[in-house]
Amino acid sequence: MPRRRSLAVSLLFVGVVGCGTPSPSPLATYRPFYTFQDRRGDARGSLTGDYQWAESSATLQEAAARWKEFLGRHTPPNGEYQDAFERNYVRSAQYELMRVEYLLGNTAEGDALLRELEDVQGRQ
Amino acid sequence: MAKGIIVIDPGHGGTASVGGSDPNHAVSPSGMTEKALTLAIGLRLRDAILAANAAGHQVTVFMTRVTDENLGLAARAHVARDRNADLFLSIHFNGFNGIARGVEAFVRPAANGNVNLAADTAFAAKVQKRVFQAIKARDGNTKDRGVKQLKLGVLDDAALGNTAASHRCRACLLEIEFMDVPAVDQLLNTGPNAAVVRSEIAAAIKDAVLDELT
Repeated sequence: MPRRRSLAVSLLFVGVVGCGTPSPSPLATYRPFYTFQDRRGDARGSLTGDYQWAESSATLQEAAARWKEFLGRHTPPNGEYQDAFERNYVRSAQYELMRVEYLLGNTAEGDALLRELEDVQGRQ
Repeated sequence: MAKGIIVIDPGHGGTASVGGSDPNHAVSPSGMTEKALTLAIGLRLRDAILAANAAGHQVTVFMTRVTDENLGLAARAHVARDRNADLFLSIHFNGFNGIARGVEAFVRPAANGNVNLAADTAFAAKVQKRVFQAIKARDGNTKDRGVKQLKLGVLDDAALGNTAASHRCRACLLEIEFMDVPAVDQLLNTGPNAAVVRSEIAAAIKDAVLDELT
């Protein structure tokens, strides 16, 4: 292989590996991780209604905004939960938002959520 | 023979949020509400314990509610404080995506002010294990989700009347099953043996309570 061509191939390889997989566009289609069978269409403002609203986001950008709004509205004051049902929805919303942040390439925001969620180091 | 005081707390109720307690959370595919089912099981549990007293046990039962009304989380715990209860059991049904299954119980973490975590956990483990076994006997697809720690407002020790120096009340919250799952709906609500299964669950909790108070 000619020297110049070899260099070009090497640079292309380094470029691909160095950049990694490009982040999807904020306008890329959003598909939630958790799948729900129940589609009762609960009212907006309720825990389940707002969850359904957030998970029906069309794009990653919209999903990030809606999950943040969901968590702002439904994370219980002082972290005092009513029951496991409430915790299931809030926790899964945190995971959904973390996933969206990583998909958008917002590593710092994703890592901040991961720090809140992870319990390997004994956090509750 | 068992002797003591228990407060049974059927979760949710009414039509409006009160003191951090929503009127309802889970709903079954057939339309059964969690607030109705927790009350149904709570009343069966009360009756089962009172029936056991006829055999010589001396267990006093108080309910946080016996009708379709809502109480705040602290108000529920205050019933245990004001009645000087030995046990406080909050009854709930779970729900998520119509697929998740299992029986689990919760206690409040020590980091969140639980002054008798070990005693709470032992009580919760007895209840969770018996209920899991009762449901498993009817439906092998249920799961043993064990006892977990969660900062739950209704289990706040200060509201229950427990202090570091004096903490007679053991408390836990039981999530009996995921009632949004069609198979669970059939088991508890729409199937031919639903009434029997509800009684079996109440009897399982009663056995755990008598064991705890013996």
